[in-house]
Amino acid sequence: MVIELITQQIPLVLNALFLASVLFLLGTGLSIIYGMLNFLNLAHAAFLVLGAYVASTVVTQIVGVFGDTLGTSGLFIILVLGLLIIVPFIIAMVGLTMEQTIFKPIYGLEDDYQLLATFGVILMMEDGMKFIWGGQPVTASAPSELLGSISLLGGSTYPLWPIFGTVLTMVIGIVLYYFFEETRLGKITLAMAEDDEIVGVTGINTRLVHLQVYVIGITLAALGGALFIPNASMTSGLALQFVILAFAVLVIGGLGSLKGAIAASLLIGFTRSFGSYYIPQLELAIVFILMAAVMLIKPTGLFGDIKA
Amino acid sequence: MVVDKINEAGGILGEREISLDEYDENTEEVAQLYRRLATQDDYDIIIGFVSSANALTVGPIAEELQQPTIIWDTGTTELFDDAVTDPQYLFRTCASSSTDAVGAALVLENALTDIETVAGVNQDYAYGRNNWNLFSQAVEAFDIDVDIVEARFPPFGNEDFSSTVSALNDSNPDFIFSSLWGGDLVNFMTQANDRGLFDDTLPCFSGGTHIFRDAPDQVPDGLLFGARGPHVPYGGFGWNSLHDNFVSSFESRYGESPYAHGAFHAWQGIYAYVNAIENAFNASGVYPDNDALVKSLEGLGFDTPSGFLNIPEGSHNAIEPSFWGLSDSSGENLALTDSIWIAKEQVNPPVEQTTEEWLGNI
Repeated sequence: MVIELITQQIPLVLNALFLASVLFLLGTGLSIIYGMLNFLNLAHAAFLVLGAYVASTVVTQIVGVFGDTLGTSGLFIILVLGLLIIVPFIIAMVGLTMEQTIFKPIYGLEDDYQLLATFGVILMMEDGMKFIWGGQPVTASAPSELLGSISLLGGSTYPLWPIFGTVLTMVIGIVLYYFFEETRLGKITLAMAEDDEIVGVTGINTRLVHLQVYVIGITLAALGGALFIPNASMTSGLALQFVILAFAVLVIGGLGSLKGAIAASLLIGFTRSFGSYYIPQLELAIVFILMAAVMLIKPTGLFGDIKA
Repeated sequence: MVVDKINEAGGILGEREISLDEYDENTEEVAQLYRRLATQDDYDIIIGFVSSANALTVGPIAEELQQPTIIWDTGTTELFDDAVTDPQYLFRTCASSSTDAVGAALVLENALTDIETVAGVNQDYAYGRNNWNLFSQAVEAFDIDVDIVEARFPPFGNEDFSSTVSALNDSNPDFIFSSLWGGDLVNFMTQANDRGLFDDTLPCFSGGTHIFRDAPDQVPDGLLFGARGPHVPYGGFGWNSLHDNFVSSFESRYGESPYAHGAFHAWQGIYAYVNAIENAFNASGVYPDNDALVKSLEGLGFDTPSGFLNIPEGSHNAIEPSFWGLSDSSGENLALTDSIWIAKEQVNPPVEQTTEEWLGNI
């Protein structure tokens, strides 16, 4: 009985870790962009959705071009490279174009104006994605199918892709931590979050640093979408779900905090996974309850400062 | 496509072309949109609505404004059981969810007698709840010897079904009834396939054949599908020439097969209107006004690509047979084979009863 209860929890833990991974990639980008650029980009989550759509096209094209010629391992490696390099590159280019044309003019505005403006951007992006990919769900299951599944204790089958995605996200998290703590650019970025005017006085090109941080944030969201879609599908309308989840990470973790994003993603992932399983009636509300609880206890979020 | 074909042939009665304007029902202000179309824009007929919530919203307004309206795809039985109980101007030209949910229960009773445990996964909104309520009521009403071990209602528009799939895996049902559709169905299927849910569980998707188009690689052979009536391009048995023409026209125009039942429902909605006008004109020699049009819609029957469709006398809701088949990728096109047909009278209430009253009195 006890063993059965324990084995039942294993897929829930794996589900939670994968969800937390996607949320970490989504929420970290939003958090560092707001924390360090003071730009509240409601449309940030739409870049995850765009990443998933682009990933679907990239996967379809790669499978179409290479087919069975590379063998299972070869095709899988090409697909992963496509998801980890081509997709973020495309989204970064789109993001940079939007930064120059749409976001840059609203950097100086108050938060509420930024929220309104970027909400409009979400609607535009949603319609744009609908125009390109249609209103029907799109998938990109080839990487997950090639990777296959394992049998867990208790005999249940579990796909390897979410485990792969979780490990990959952990690596990305470590690289990010190293970047902010150990590299010159990371330290400049943190310093700018404290006072970018002072940093600018030292002769550092703060605009360039802004752009670099922005691209890192957008790229992380794109990676979230690329890792998400092989185990799911993307359809128009899901952007708003991710907007809510991204802001939940921001509110629970605290603005501009990498540690906060990690903690919040894990907290939401585990709460959502176990909550949906044991109290399915609260599936929709559970993230909001968690947000409310954290705000009551610590209104600035769990790690509510702007350090890495 | 359907309107273009009618117009190419000269229009209604061969002389009046249909002027068609399209609006998106996915708006927060569907009531305002509907009122504007009915009053300011003065359309002869308003045809549409997929969303149960939207149909339940506009139904009473159609009666209030005396606007002939055809609901072509919404399934919820609440439309005529609760929202509009004495309809004059509102019609539905597709089967209600009774056809799907009661039909699934009858499949259990008649064709899957070795099933012992049943679970449900349906979206948490009017359509999903309505389907599960009808299915579980039908299981009880027909005294089907199964245990319902799990009922899940994930939110509509959900990105993550992993916990729902884990819960279904742990309750290990023999059979799952599901009215999931759209992106939710594709997400659920993808995550369920990956987690081996269908290894020893037979799922039954009452309106999910659109996944044959959206994600064909996610459809293993041998899963049970319905199509909200007999609305499939391939499988079943010999179809009439209307079916073959419709499928080939659809494929040549859109480059894909009409796997989504909505395409067939759209055909039915438009031709219900056309047939009602032509019948009224042929009977009176006068082009019908609103009252004559709705009178002509009552008791209407006509051939469709899915067989004969009729709106019984005294009802404003078309009835259709319940149709089921097993997914089969062995042929040129994904199809439903080993089909099961259940007569329309067996899956719909008599005209004078609501679905709940009918199921309560069996």
